Amino acid sequence: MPTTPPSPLHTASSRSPRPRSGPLAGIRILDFGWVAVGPLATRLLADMGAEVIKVEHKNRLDLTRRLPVYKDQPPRPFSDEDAHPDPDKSGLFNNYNRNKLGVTLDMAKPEARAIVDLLIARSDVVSENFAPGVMERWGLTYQHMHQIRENIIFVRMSGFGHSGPYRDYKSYGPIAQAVSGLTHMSGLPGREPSGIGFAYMDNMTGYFGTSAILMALIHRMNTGEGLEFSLSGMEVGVNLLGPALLEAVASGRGTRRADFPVGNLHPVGAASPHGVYPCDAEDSWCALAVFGDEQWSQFRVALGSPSWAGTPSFQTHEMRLANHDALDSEIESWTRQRSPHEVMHNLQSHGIAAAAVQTTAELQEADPQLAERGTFVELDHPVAGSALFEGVPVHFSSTPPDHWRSSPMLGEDNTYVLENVLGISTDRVTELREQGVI
Amino acid sequence: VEFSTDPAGEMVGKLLRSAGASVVKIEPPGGACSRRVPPFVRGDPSGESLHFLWYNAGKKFLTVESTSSGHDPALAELLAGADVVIHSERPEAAERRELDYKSIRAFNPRAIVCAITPFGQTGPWVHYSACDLTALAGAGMLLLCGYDDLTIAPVRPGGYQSYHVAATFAVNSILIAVLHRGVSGPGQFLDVSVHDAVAVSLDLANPYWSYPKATVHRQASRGAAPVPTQPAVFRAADGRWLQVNLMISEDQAWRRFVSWLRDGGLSVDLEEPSYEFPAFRREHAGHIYQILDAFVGLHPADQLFWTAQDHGVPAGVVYAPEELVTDPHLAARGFFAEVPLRDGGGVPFPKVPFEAGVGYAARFPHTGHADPD
Repeated sequence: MPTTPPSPLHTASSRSPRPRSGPLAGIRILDFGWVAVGPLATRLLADMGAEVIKVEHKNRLDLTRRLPVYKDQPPRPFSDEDAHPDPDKSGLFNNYNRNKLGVTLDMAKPEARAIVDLLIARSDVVSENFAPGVMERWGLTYQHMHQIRENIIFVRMSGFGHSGPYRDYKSYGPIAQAVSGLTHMSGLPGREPSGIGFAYMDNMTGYFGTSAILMALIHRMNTGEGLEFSLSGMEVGVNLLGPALLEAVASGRGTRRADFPVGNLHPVGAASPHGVYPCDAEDSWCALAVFGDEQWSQFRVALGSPSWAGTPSFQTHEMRLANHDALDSEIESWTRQRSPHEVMHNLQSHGIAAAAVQTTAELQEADPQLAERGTFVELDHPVAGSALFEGVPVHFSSTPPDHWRSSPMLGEDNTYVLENVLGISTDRVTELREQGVI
Repeated sequence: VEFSTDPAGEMVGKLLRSAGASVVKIEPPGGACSRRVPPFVRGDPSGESLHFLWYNAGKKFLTVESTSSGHDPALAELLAGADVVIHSERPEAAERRELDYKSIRAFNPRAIVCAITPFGQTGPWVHYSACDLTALAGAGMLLLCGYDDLTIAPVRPGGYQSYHVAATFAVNSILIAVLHRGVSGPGQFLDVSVHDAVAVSLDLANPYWSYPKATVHRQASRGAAPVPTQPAVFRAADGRWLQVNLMISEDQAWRRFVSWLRDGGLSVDLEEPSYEFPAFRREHAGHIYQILDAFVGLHPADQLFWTAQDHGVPAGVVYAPEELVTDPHLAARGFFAEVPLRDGGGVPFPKVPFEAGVGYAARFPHTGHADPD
């Protein structure tokens, strides 16, 4: 397995674990999470000071370690991975696992499971998002953990939950989006659904997993008791459908009809215009929404009071809704002469909700709002290189996040965790390494 | 204590309520404006708002003459003992309503005050207006959603997702602050920005820019990517769509896929030895996907979902929301509970997605009706 030598700029000490600050300092999480959901569930917790020990299988790389999102290579689809990837080079893994410690164990070996038991005894939380059955095969049930540490918290996340006929079904973000109804809710009428163009449910199931861990910690703080929690990605998705779910079941009309979904029209007709309009360059767009007659007057002023806007067909909100195609085409003739940000700032100066449809390049490098709030955080990595990370989107007045390090290289913290956290002797750690346990 | 009337703030109270917190929503005489947001039961605008029910079921409601903090004795008492205060005001309005942290802290130093707003409390865009569509646009999510034909405008995902993303961050921040405060510590102020929350929740899109400086392009029902990828939804015989995550580079996933097709009677030439090599499969991806498309077209979506999964192939029906209430898995898990409507009927309401306790015997309390108390 080829690896890139660490950059001389990064001495061992600059990446050495240190006591954490932040509101969750002192809380230890043993994290079996992999791919996206599990790592996203502990990302915020690691940012906010929890000591997250990421357990990895040294012979079965986390999928995100293999995905070819590399700084020094042209972009490729994530399925186009190398046969023998450098496990420390992927930007995606780095984005999800910063501020965590990393250990590698061969869970097929009893010595590795003994190490896990020692870690459980010193942890507050165990989290995982394997397919149901994997943790059981290793004997890592809640009952087992509870015997080792009575008030342990065990949070499990899977696509369909841990009971019911689909409990063993496989899921990735797009599957969870499909079976929860989210994909069907998005698109233009009469076409295939456009859905959500990324693994949104990986993020959201992960974030709900964060909630589960925190709720269990609060429960323990209040009662002294641990807890086992199971989370279903499908059910998280259903909880994100919004009122349209209630309408679909309560109205009896259902949503498999010619006028659903509504594309970019307002879902309940509260705004018109309400859409995404082409601007002056290829694939450049601006979104805008006008709620009610007062805003419509302001909108007309922003557009320079064109004569079409004063015609009877656009006079009232209801008429604008009824004639939205004609309205959109008039607006488009105006937006096409302008850049997305020009449209945005012009309309915003008249109190109209409008936003350039921003690229990630713009988010990271040109958005003054995100820049001033420090939303993206720069961290260096010996192999993946220096880059901006998706930071914490919340300002805590008295407990800021503690970004201490980018993601662990494979097995980077084996010695620290075994010797410093568990108190295992250096000789024994060497032995475990030689035996292929770590 | 919740002052918000927009879905972002109301979702925060809803999620905390679902986890067992007692949530009191403060309303002016006549009720919060969100009580008048469509859709309505039976489409009747004078009736009960399903929008309001979705975001507020199970909360308690306190009507006060002035929703400024401290102007009403009942409200003042409530705030003095509150663990958490949620509002959706920008800095000046928060000060005007005495909901700013300084005002609340003056009589309740333990309070955790969470403001959830389009752009947060600071920055050059702090006073900009936003709705779900523009929030998704400005924060980079919208550009990832839509069709392969890039001359078609990006398409807004359904269901107020910008608010939901921000609400989960707000909830998690509140829980962190509660944990940090412990039993007797001081509260703090949490400034949650919808714009920021969505911008840090974009899956591959941010790393693709941070590392190879690549912009990803939207594709229908699958991940936006720097180069086009194969389709992921296929039309079944009953007209419904099936989502399939086909990973042709992985040998085990490939074998499962072929066994699914074989048992369905349409593996065609995919069992020939040349397909045992990932490189060959990648080279002939178009042909493989053609066969998959034809195969899916021969069977109803439910059957394909179940048989694919039985073979270990990640697939799922693109469910319409109303189909969820009859899905056998959710039914077996008791996921929906009937919530009463004000006029006597009822509506199936999803429970929280958490199961707690050994053997998952109990969920946290779910929703109740949204009548004013």
